[in-house]
Amino acid sequence: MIGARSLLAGFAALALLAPVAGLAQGPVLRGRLHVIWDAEADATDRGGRRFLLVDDAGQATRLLPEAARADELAVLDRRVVEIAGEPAAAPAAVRGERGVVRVRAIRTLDGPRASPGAGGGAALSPVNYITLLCRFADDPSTPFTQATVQRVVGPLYPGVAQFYAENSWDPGVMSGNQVTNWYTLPLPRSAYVGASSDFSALARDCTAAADADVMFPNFFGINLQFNGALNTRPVAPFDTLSFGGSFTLMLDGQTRSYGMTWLSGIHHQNYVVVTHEMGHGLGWPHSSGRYGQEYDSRWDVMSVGYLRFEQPFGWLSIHTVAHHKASIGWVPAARLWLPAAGAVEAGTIVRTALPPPGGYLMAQMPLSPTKSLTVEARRLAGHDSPLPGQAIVLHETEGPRAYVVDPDSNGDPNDAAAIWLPGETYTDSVGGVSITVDSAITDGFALTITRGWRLTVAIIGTGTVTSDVGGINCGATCTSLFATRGTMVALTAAPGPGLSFGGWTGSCTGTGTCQVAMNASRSVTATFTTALTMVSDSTRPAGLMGSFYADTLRASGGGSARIWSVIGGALPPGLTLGGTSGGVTGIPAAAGGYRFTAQASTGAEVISREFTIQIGKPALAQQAVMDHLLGAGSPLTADQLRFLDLLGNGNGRLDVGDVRAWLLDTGVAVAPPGGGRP
Amino acid sequence: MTARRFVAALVAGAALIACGGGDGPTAPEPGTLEVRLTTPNADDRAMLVTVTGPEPIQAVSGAVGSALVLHGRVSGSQATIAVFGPVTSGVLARVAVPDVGRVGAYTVTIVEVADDANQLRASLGGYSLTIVR
Repeated sequence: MIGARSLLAGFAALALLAPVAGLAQGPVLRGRLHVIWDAEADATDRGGRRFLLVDDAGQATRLLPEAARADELAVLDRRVVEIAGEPAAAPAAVRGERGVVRVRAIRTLDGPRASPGAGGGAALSPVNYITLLCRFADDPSTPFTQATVQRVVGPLYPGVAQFYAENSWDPGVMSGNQVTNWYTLPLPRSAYVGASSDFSALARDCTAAADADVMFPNFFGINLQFNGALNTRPVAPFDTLSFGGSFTLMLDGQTRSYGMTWLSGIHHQNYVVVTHEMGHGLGWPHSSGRYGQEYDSRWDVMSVGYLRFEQPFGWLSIHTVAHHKASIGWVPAARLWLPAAGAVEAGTIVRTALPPPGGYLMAQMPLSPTKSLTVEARRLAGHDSPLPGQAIVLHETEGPRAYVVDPDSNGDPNDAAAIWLPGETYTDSVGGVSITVDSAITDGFALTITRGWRLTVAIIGTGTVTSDVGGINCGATCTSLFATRGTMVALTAAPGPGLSFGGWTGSCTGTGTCQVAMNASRSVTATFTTALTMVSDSTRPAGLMGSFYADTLRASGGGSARIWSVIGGALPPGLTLGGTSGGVTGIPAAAGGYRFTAQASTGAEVISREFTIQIGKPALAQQAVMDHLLGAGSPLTADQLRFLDLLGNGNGRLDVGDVRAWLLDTGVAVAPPGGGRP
Repeated sequence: MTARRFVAALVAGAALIACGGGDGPTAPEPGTLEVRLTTPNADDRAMLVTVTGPEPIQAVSGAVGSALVLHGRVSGSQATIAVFGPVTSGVLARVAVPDVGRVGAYTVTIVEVADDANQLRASLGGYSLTIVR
């Protein structure tokens, strides 16, 4: 089980919460860490978990992690660890726990191989449970029989052994489940069930009562089935709870970790509760959507649970998700699809419930150093008959936790968005995964899985684009799939004959070598055009001083983006050249002949040409000018008035100074030789 | 009264009649008024003035022998005059009016003055314009 082993090794890598040096700063505890899924847990863990450290003497200490780091602690379930921290007040003190420690640092003391249930390479099987019937000292009732419970955990449909045989594809996985007769606890219920259930005392006292009759090391797990209720949920619907997880016990000369359940009497033949809590005993957490809910996925017995009511059994549940099965080695290596990086693979995934003998049971691939993606086929078969649909279902996994991939983010991980059907494609560009459901087959679905980061080149015009790595030579080969995220790719453009390179668009811009970082799928377009050519004639339209002027310099080819500039000479005063438009506009402020050199650039190409513009003066009648000045009407146009003002003093209106300037400009003798008064 | 004295009185009376004197209305005297300028600057090159009187102004003209180019517009009792050239202190223009005897009822105003660079004077302080017979 290479896939499962590598993932679980990753879980352990998260274990070091703080530098080991921190261990010297507070009380140091050693023991085996246990996670008990506890819906009554205090607010220190939103996931509803109680963390216990059990030493070799069987003494339990409750651990309080920082809330944000509870998940990191949870992955160390059943590992031997050393804890540094400081004493804290118990949220709800119980007799069987010797105190509470707020965790500051932790390190693992056992090797990378985890304890049973945390993956060791081989499939975790068998995982037989011994169910102990224990009654409180103050309640002698035996409300159900050994035979009844034996049927619940037994191999006949829908018994727990049958349920897990279907889940594990291993008929013998729990074929050795056994049930004892009743034992009496040494203390009344109130000694075990107060503000909080005393898991430690219940485990120690119930197993001690049965120890003479049971060889515990023969079993993977222990169901503690009580004749009365344990705690109730502290929030609505305030229902009676049962619990699952693990615990370390010294029994029959061996100290070891057991999968454990603590079952309220009312749940003794509730198949949903028993299979769910035993799932925790196998090391599985809840799964869910990414909506902050613990019990919202209808794809997993470890979530919603209550999905089908069937007489005479009552509520029944469905399979657990493939990620959980793989985590304890139940998916054979030959049936685990691990798509290669940088490859496109086609295959089929068969249904997880009652699958045919061949075909992949799931696919699994990394999305990042801490996340993976699982792919499984769910069809209405066996215990999976009440599924939300028949489909490919995807889960993002972080450590042991699986989240339904539900792209519509609408709060419902069981709707159409989470149901991947033929013709649909899931893409995670950053994670480098694309999954297309090609078709439905009798027992599953045919898929195409692409792993890697795809670079796609498109060409406009005629030319070629080549890459330094990845083998792109476009027009012939215009796409490449890169196996390593972050690969740097250099693309070079070569224009066809008579053409020029206009530039890159998409994931590159500019006209130089295109450098693409393949940290997501990328698309690049290269544009080749005819050579950049100046179209406009050298002689531009003439203008008049004072009258608005508009002209446009034009070039062709070279792509669409051109930058215009004047690189020599000068435009007539008052005119400007638009940098992107090539427009020459404005109000000429002086007459004359003007010569300038304009340049058009696409970055790759630069061309220039010298242009001339002649700016003339309007012809005005002296009578009209004088009439306007002396107030005899308004015979001059706005352009003519602007001309006179520009010619004169430029103060924005016509005045005697402007008229004098015009008279001088037109040659009227206003200062005869000698001047002055006679 | 002697005969000699009677003749003298008669001559004197005739002279009074000839002069229109006496206690009756004075007859209007058409004629020309002069617009006289005093300028503080030596580089005035154009000027725009207005003349406003009690009666319709008949015409405007330049001073005799002036080097200035004058353009004028008469509209009823107001005349607008633009002069171009080296404007100096002295007679700026002449205004033909129906009755020079009413010179005191005329007003003259400088509107704007331009210098040799065609820029308007920012201030007309120091300038004086009068109209006289």
